[in-house]
Amino acid sequence: MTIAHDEGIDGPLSGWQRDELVELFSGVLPGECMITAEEELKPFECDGLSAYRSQPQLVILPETKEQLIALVKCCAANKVPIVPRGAGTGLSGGAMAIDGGIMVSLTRMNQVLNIDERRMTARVQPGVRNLAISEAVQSLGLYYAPDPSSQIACSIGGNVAENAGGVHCLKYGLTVNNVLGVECILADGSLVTVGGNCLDSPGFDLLALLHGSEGMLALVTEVTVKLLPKPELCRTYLVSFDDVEKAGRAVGAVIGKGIIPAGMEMMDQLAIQAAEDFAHAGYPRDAQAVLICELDGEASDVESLDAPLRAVLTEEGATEIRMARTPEEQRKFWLGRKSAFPAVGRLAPDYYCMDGTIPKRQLPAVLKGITDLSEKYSLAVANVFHAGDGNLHPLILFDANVPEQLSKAEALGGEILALCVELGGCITGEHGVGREKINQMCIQFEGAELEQFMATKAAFDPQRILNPNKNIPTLARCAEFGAMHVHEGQLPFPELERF
Amino acid sequence: MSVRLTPSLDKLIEQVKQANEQRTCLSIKGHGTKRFLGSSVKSIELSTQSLDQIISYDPSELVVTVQAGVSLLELEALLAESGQRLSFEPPLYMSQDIQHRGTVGGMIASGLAGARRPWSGAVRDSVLGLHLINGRSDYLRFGGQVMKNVAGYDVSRLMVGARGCLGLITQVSLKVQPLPQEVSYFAWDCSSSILLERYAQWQRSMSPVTGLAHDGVRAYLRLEGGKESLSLFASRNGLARYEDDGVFWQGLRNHTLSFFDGNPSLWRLSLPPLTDLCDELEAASIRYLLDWAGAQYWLKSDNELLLRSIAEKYGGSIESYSNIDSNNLEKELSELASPLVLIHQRLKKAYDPNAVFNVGYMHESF
Repeated sequence: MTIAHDEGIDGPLSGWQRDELVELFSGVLPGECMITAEEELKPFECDGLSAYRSQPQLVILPETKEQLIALVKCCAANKVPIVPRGAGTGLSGGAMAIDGGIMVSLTRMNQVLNIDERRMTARVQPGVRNLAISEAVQSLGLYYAPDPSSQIACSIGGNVAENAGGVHCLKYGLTVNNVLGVECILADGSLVTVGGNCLDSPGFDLLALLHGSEGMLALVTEVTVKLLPKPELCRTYLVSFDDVEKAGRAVGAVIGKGIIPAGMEMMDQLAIQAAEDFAHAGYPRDAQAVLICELDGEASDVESLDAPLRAVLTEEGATEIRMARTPEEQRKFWLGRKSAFPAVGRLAPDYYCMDGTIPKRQLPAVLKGITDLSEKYSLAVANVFHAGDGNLHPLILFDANVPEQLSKAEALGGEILALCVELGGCITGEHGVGREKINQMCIQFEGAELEQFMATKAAFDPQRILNPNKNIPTLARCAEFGAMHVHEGQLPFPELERF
Repeated sequence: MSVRLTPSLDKLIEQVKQANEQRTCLSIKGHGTKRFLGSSVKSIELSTQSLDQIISYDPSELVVTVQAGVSLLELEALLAESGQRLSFEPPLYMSQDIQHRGTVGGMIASGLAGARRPWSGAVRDSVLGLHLINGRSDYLRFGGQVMKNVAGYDVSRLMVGARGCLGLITQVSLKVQPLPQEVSYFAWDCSSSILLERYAQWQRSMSPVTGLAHDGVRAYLRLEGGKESLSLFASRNGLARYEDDGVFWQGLRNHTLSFFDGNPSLWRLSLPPLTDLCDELEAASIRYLLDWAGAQYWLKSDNELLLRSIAEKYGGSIESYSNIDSNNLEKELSELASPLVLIHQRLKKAYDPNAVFNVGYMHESF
């Protein structure tokens, strides 16, 4: 079933036309903040998930929070839907434009406002790039820990909206664990501060709730992040296995021994071959799977973990354990992993990146399941995992020019996500639901849970103007999708007509 | 994924359903060790004692899933058997029954963390998912047992510290961590300002500090990590070990130090890290314990107005640990911007439309 907006099941759209919108906002914002020309709107027609495109009618790039407040107030008064967008690197269509609304790009609000060296925090505007925070505090020996693979481009506002992860979140946590406070604009245009400089504040934990809310509860105007000292020593190991399931088991075994790597990544044979052809990182071509395992911290602690780590990996059947001896070698080990996506991209005209999570003990089972599904659909799948935290990124290879292949890839992806749920995991670990996984939400959650999400949204945004129709499917959509759960022989929504 | 409900869950759902239909109020009770955090008038007690199951625990996953009525002592013992623990050091306050030192549900609903909090994260940082019964008696599951999960809104973390006002938590999945190889304790006489200055330097490189306190005379320091890194840190900084087996830190965690006894009232003050107000407190003759490297102070005073003005001056907030009447956070929340109070009220309505749960625990209107 398509994810495209369907008025019958997703609800009606606003009906605003472009010229009406332009007229409405020209009284509120300077003309240079608006993009209306067809060719200039083109880059905004999709985010990082380029398979789904929808060109916005009007893009607004506010430069100050005062402009943004005025804009939201105008939208609230006229019920104009707003699709917020950061750097546009999201992978779930969370920034897909909707008809009858505007897109607000926050990239011009890109100032680092304050660095508090003593308390080790930075206060930044939402358009600041993730990596730019670490660059701004590099001279102080500090950095911002969450490192999504898009960190060179993605913005901190988008990181908050998606609760972005990265390769080091096993040890250092996700965005929600590294943000102390945000300033944001609510759906009625009021500016509020949530969290702040203290470690806690009175009332409900709205700061946690805003993380991962995909721009549907508020628009973030400032973010205060926690900074960390750079680790004294960082050691990277490249570990080979002759069997992918052995590699899967080794991941749990390392953690079971009380060793918490800063990152633990896994690649299967197809991904290894592709990465090696692309990056010449020196990966073992004959291995069925590799783990990249990184230990960091105080030097003597890291050194003392070397022997126990080698012992457990050997016990689990590692065929080779290589430790990077030089920074150059370390960089190469990571280069292979970090270029896995573009490398796989050379194996087929198109690939579709999935983002499920599972309990680590299920890694062997999910690997087997993906192999079976790959055969069933006759589409190759390369597996790249944040194995340490059970986050899978299977890459489904296809050719969009061959009829039916995109829909086959989508169906295969849907089945992989359903498998993750079945194994006790979830449909998205760090990429978000956006529009892409709107149907799979019906597998993950039951009707009453979806209704609770909708009520949560309504508490913040009763008019549904902030990024509507993302993240939470309507019950009608789930009924249509046919994935509603039958509980004790009763359909949860007997009043809904089924097709 | 649908859930098979046990008889004890069915019974609780039925109780909530009746309360919702009859417009009666329920006060959720675990062990009752944190009653000082809030109370509700004219309510029926709803005990979580029947929710006493460990659902699953796999040490290699670093995840434990338990029901809300499970005792914290039992959970900690279970984790310790596998060399693991809860990172955030939840308080185990005393009650009349020596075995009743708090439940998992109370730990989540209160959101209280101990001395390790600035270094190991808050309660919510360890919460991966939970099940709850909302005010409409719907049984709901949010989050999961995996480290990363961004499907839907993060309702699980919203429940942490919500004091049971948004629903009855029945089950929770928590991230756990391995026990450190070594723990060492230090105590010496020095001023709070010198202590905080030293810490400000230490935190600029990876330091093994997991506890930093000061009682007005003595500095207390706890280090956790590898054997070698601890002794290296101690010798570099000229620190001599203090062999009390962590008795001070246990007393701070569980409020069994004599500081916490008797009058005047006990308050918790939350401040930006490295705030030094010891001189100011001494000048005002307020007894204090500095905790969390200056991000949290324990205060003994009956001068509420003065404490509020101090909190305001330093950009923090206070909360009473003695006096239930002044304790539903109304004053703190009244300082929130009114749009945020509105959001709180609407969230209460969204989860508990007929005000069944813990009415007045946080605010008269929610």
